[in-house]
Amino acid sequence: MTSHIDHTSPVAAAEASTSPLVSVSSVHKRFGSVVALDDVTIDIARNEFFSLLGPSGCGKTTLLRILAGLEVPDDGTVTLDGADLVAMPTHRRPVNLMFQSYALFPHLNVERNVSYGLEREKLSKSEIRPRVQEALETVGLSGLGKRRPTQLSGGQRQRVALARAIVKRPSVLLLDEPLGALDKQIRTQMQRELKRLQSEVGVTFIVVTHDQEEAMSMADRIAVLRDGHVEQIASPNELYEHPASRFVAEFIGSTNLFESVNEKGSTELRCLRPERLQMGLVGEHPAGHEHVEGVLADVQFYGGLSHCYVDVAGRENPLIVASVGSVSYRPAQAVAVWWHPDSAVLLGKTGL
Amino acid sequence: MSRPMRFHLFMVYTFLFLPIGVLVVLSFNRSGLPTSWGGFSTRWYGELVRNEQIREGVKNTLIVALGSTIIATVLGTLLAVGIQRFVRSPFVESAILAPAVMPDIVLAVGLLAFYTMVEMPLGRLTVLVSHSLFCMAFVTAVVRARLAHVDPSLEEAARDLGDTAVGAFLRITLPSLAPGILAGALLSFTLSIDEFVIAFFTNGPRNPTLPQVIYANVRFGVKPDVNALATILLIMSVLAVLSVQRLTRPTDTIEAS
Repeated sequence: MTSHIDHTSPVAAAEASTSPLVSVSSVHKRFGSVVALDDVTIDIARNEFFSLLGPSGCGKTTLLRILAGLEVPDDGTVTLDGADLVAMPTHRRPVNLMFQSYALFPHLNVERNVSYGLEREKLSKSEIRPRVQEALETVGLSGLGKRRPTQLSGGQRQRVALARAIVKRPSVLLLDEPLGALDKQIRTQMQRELKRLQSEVGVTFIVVTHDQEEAMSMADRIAVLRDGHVEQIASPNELYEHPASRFVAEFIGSTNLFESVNEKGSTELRCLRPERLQMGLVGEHPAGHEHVEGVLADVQFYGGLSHCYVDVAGRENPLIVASVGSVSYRPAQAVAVWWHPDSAVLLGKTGL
Repeated sequence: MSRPMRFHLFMVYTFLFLPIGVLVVLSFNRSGLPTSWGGFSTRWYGELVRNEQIREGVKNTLIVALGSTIIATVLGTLLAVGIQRFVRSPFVESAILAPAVMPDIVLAVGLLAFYTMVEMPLGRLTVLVSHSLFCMAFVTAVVRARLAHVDPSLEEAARDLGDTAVGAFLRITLPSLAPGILAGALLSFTLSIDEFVIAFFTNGPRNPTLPQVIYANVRFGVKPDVNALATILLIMSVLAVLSVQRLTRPTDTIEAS
């Protein structure tokens, strides 16, 4: 297909590379009275590491299952490379899903688990064997092929599930909470390995997670979902620096919210990340900065960085100020917090 | 365990197993009398094989037991999977166990009335159908217990990897349920070979099952070859129960975390 495009005009080739690989458009899905997806539209580019992020019940897993063909949308279209994906039966889709429970077949050994998908393609044994070995090598499990899934650790099972999904060479790999069942230590290691794997095998990854740190550290772009609709689609940096709504601002990282009334009399909400605030003695704030005065309530020390909580009269939540290194102020001391007006981000109406 | 408790336990087990022990010992008694020991002999086992009536009974019982085991295992397994997937009503779920817990006599009378109503002639076939019915309830219960330990995503994973719905069921779901299915089948077979009440009510006069033959014989006093037969049945059921216990142990499944 790609070679066909290469021989046409350069304009067509450019179009092909910019057109999305996966296109989800106005998808609706309800289960009984529960709305799982409400008018969801997402475009995912080729070779992208895309993350669907949101709290549990936001519809992210439903969307993943629709892409895999395990659920059918009530309304809307899903295309893969321009072809209608919804019309394609589950077992014919060039899409593979790594299940949250890993769903390894307990009665088959590791090799047979991995070769299962290739056997269904009616490939010959001589084709299957090297591909299985290669997949096991990619995930670092060569030599464990004869083991049963019950004889493996959690991390090893996760690798088998991964090998089983990539061995089919899908155009899209779907991962449902891939690191959810692992210890924190292995998680960080696997995050980096997933990232390496994605660039190595050159497959589009769509990862569902409820862990914002995980999404932020791995994904090229993130769609934040809430109650079945998309709050914002952006790069991790953009989500952090320019959250579109209060929900995104509060869901990702720590945030300080400021309410104000504009000239037209309506309420506006601005967001300031802890790094944008500075703390000092009362009266120390530089010219051209906005400031408030308060009392230092608590300091949380994270090694290179500290979060200072400052109680301000009239504010429900303390302000969070990030400062590099140790803090020379004592709790209960009167302090001033200031910021440059340009660093405040005006939040949209959604989620107010 | 305290001394009185140990004694109590000993008495309970004696009460349970002494009659069975006596029966096994008597089956090897040369004299054939329950009152005197005439030395060890296997002659009653020989008599048993030569007894035309008993051979006929064994044949009928095996036909009924094998037939009802196959029917009950297939239907019971499908029922268990179907209930797991599609039924959300607790009434339907428990109703399937009714034939297993209902008194045999109620089931027997009901079935007899049913066969008369549909004008089905009584015989081996009606016993086979009756046994399939209550065995199916047991198979369903055993397979459902197994299903509870199987990750529901397994079949979805198979389809995701390119298998059809039917292929995924045959290649993934059935093998994961295999120990439960086998246990259910063994249980059905054991329950069917010694079932008397339902067979008594729903069988015709021409093909009595083994329990019916034994019943007809003991009415005129227990003959020693019946002891031998009971010993054989005992060994068979003990083996079946041990296998069922082994098979229903939840091993080799990956607990969904």
